[in-house]
Amino acid sequence: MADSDIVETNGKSWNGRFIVRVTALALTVPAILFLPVIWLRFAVPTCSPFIGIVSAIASRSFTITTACSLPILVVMFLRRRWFCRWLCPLGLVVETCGRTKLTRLPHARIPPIGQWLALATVGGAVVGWPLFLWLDPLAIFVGGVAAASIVCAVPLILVIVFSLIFPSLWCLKLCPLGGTQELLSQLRGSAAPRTTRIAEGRRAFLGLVAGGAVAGLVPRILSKKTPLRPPGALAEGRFKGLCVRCGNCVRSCPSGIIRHDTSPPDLAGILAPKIDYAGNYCREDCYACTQSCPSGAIRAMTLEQKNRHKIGLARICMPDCYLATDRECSACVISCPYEAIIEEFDRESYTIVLRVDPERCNGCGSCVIVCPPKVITVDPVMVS
Amino acid sequence: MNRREFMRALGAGTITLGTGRVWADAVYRGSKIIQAEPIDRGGPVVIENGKIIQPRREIPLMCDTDVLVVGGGCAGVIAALSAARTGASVTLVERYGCFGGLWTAGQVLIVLATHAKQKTGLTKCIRGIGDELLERLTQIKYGIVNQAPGKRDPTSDPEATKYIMAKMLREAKVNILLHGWATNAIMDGNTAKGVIFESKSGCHAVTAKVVVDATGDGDIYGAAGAAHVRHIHRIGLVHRRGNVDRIRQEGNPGKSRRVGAVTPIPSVKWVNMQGPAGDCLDIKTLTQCDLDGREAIWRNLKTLQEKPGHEQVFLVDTASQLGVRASRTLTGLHELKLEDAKVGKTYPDVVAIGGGYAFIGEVPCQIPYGCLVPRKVDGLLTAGRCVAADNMMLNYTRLIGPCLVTGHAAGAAAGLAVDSKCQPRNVDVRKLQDLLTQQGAYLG
Repeated sequence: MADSDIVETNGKSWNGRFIVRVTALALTVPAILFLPVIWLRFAVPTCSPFIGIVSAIASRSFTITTACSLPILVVMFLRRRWFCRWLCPLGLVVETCGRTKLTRLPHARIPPIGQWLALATVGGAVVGWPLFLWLDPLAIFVGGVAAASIVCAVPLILVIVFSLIFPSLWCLKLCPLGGTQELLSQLRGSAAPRTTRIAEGRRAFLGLVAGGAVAGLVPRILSKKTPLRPPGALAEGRFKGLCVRCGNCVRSCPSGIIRHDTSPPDLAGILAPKIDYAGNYCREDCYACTQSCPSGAIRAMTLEQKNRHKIGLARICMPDCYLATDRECSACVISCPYEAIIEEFDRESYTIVLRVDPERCNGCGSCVIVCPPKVITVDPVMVS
Repeated sequence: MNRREFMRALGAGTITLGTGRVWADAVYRGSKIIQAEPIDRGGPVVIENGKIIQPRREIPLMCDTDVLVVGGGCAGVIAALSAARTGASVTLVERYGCFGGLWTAGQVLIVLATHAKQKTGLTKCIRGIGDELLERLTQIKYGIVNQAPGKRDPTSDPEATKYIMAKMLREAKVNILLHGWATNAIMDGNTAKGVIFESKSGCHAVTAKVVVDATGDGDIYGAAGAAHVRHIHRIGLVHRRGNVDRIRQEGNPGKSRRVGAVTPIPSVKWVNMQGPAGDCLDIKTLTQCDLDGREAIWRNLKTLQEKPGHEQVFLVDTASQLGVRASRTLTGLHELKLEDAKVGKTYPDVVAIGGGYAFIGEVPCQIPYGCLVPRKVDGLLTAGRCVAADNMMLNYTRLIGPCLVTGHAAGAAAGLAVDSKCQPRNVDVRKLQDLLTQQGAYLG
């Protein structure tokens, strides 16, 4: 049995399975590239029960992903590593890379890291920070294939390079979805000796607790600085953990203001989507990003809910405003879709001061982009 | 007959004729009493059933003209000049005693949006008659600053501008009526035929083949029933400060508030005012703004004079016209929109191009003919501040630069409509563009 064959074939037709896998890959890539993002979130990353379970735990709700991944979860439970062997597009890529056989590692001596990652992530999710959710193979694959820029493809490239050097190591020992499947089959494997099952149980408990403990501690050492997140994003800590960096929200935004954060205040936020009002604003007729998230890091909202959701709060640096020097301008006041910028006239000094109504302003950034002297910024609002 | 007897006779005559037309006025010239031009109001307003009623009456015709331009601000003046150059007879009615409107009497002295910075360098967009005017101001000492190659957005002296405008209008043989406040449109069905205006001489009519509404407030198209949008905007009162060259900077000059903007007179600066937002078509608002604004100016001046080094600064004058920014915009065949202006949208029927400005960027802003033409009303064009623009772009079209070019376009179009005996909306835009180019306008 070849290393590259992940797990035993049980004498099944190798050719038949290969055709299925190639077909799965061949269907996945155009799906990622050409399906509308709103549908895509039901298609590819959603097939991963790892994301499904973890997002349900972390967001404390039954998410779309959980529902979609349920049938796959059941099959995984019944057939060991079924997903890897029949469907996983990243698996096929990794396996193909592995055929180069540049190096050989005795896999047996490497511990099943993927299982530990999966356990720690579930443990973290309970606390609110799913530690390694971003390592989900489907998320990596979607992020890499749909990559808006080369930066977003880095995880996929890393996995490929890693697999060229260490054939099959990713699939066998590292992949948390693979680990999840191993754990599932352990749950079912009633035939195993009692001692093995106790050891497995102990290991699972240890993994969950360790994950929970780390996830509880990590947010305390992270930066308190928060970039602006897409509307509907969960609280910063949970958001950074739950976001799988698939790039769906980035691609869904017609204004192009959602970008992968390549210079985050801390490492935990790397490649997470952030809002950058460089040339456009969050349109009042759009809520696409809130409909695009497969992991629940961004809540699904209606248009009305999105427009009420505070991305941030506009702040006008009044001393640098044109009006402060009696130059003609009304750009921000007129452009605000929510009439949140109010010209306050002071009868005593006979001057105008612009005030942002915090009730009305949702931080959409329309004022930021029209301001000629560029003195308006949107500050993140602290959500407790 | 002495004066008293004459008056008595006159009074008796008036009584016998009833309260109708006053047939003659008497006027002293030196020691002699002579017959004067009648001041015709068609008799007084009467009270019927407790209501104040203006009796139905005939309004005397002052004159008939090819093109009637209402409003002698920067757009109106250029429109009148442009129309006169097409050979049409032109009458210009202005409510105050001078030309230039907000530019001069309003003391908004800076001509903004004259140029656009493009890859090829600085492009002068405000050309044609508007630029002729600016060039003539350079011939006057202290007439204008920043009107030179490589410079943009010149600032002119209000008095020099009034003077040159009047000179150019007289040279072009425009029939000028100052101190006349146009109060209503004369309509024949859906077609504007002229206006009536009030003056010390009473109420008179001027009829015309084409009326150009350059009132800034869109008073005429409003009265004619053309569709339009009204706006609430800030109303300021501009003033000028003197002796600014005698200011001694003490302490931290960077921190000190600007004393004002440059004028052609070295010792004088002009000071803009934002003012409160209000309905610029409401007399109470206007009254309040004038009174409060002037008080604020004196208050601010006092504060400034108390500042060390600023003791000699004094108030030269306050503007005689309030700084009304926006009141009506036309609902025209086309509406200027910010998103179009930002990307430098071009139009096949472009008749005016303004320069770049803060919120639209450094792109030349094309203004199509449709912005000057009402949707339904015929015989009418508009120019200046009240052309068709959305509530963002009206902050562009109200600048003097764009007003100069929309005025030029409206005047030429009116002249061409008269010449080709058609309604303004049916003017051959290709011909109009040729005519404007002949008159020196820049159309890209």
